[in-house]
Amino acid sequence: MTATGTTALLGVAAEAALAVPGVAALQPRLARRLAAAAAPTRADTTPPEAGIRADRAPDGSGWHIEVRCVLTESRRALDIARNVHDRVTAALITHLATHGAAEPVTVAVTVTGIAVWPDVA
Amino acid sequence: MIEQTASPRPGADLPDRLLAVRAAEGDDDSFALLVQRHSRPLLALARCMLDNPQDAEEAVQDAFVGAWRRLPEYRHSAEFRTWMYRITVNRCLTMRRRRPPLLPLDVVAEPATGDAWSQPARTAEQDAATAALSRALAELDAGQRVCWILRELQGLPYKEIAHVTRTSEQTVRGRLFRARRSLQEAMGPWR
Amino acid sequence: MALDDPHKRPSAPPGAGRPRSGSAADVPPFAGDEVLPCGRLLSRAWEEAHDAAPPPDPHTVSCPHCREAVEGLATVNAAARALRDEDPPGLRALADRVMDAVRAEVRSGRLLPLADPDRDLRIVESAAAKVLRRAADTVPGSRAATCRLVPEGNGTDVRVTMTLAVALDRPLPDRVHQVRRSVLRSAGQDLGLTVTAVDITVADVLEPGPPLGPRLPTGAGA
Repeated sequence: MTATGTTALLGVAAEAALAVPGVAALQPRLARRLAAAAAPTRADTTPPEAGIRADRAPDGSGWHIEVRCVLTESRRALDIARNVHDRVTAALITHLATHGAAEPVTVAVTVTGIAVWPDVA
Repeated sequence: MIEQTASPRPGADLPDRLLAVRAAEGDDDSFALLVQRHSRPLLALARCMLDNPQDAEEAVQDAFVGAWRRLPEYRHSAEFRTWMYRITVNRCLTMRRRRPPLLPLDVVAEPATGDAWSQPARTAEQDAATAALSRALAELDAGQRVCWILRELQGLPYKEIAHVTRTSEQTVRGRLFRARRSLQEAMGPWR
Repeated sequence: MALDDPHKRPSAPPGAGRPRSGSAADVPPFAGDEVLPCGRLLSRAWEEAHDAAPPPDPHTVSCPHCREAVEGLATVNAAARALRDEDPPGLRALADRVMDAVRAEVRSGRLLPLADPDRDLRIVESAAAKVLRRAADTVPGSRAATCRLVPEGNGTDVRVTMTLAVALDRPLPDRVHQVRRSVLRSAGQDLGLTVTAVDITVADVLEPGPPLGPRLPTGAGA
């Protein structure tokens, strides 16, 4: 695993996204639990953060990162999503530059849920 | 009139049909309220129909998950409750066919675990009578048993029971009568 | 329309209404049925006592034979009540397992653009709908049913279509107007969506009284 490989980028992006106030999780907790159950050995099959995807841009010119997150209801969804977008972008650009691999990065944020009610079940 | 009261949980005052419409559009919180509202009677029903508590829980769980999947196609031609009863009854009947009864005496919930009972001071005699009723129920034929449970334990009207069991009201009434008759005889020693 | 459900929660009590009106001679008895000394069928006496809607049938109330027949089921009834009151253990855990399974099969709906033309930010329809339904619910006498959101054009515009259940104690247009305002406000303040229109259809009536509570037998013999 290299410092600028997919796995490392996922970790950097996840850390940046989760640090944003109003982000509850990177995707429904359950999905992660199920993923964990499907790969009980927890070896290399479970991605560090299942709510994030990192792909090479189609023309090979850089990275495209997709962040799927669940928000708490504290603030406007748009503001939290913007914040996630900007912090993840900045964290990745810094990380790549630090490791001498500066490349363009585009980030897309999808809000998959808002914890409107405390856990109902 | 509907008031804006401080309800313990948003949506808790909504009728089933609204919750079902919302759940059909993917609102899992609304579905959670439906589960909360109906799981108790459905589990009681399943426990009366199946021979062990694990099977009953499995049947109800399968029924709810199946309902969640089918909600987008559910056309509200029946009340949600009736629809749910029907799915659960079918599930129980399928499980009975798959797994023939082993120990009919196990129908009764393990008694006397304190707070599992709503009346903690129940006497041993009452417990024994309830156990006897459960045994007698287990010996009824499946059709009679379902009708009796839906009527006496769940309070459904004939029409809804007929809908759940896909039969006529007249058949429901006949089965109910025969069930009462058999239970009365079986409970004779307890009078 | 799904909400125009003729099978609304019946206002009648859970009993089956009046059973057969005829005397014993009119209807073929069920197998094992018997004629009581008063001429009534045993099955009818039980139905009157257990299943019929109020008011109680005068004959059943006054006839000693019918009363005796009904009392014959007393032991079964008492045991049934005890059985009914049992709280099955594992109920909460069961509900949790159901919801875990359900949440693993999320129906998210469409992807909608959040109101930022420069960044790629979206929200899934089911999450946005949950918030907007709740905004509609805050208007007294109004509860949201369906709520669909559709992107319009190539920008970040979104159109909302909602059906409501409303109480009829106030004029509908006022209430619809209030709901529209509440939904628009929430779309802007809570979500950050550019909502161009909120199409509202009143599809159901909110009935007065508590809509909840399991219905239990209220038979006269209970």
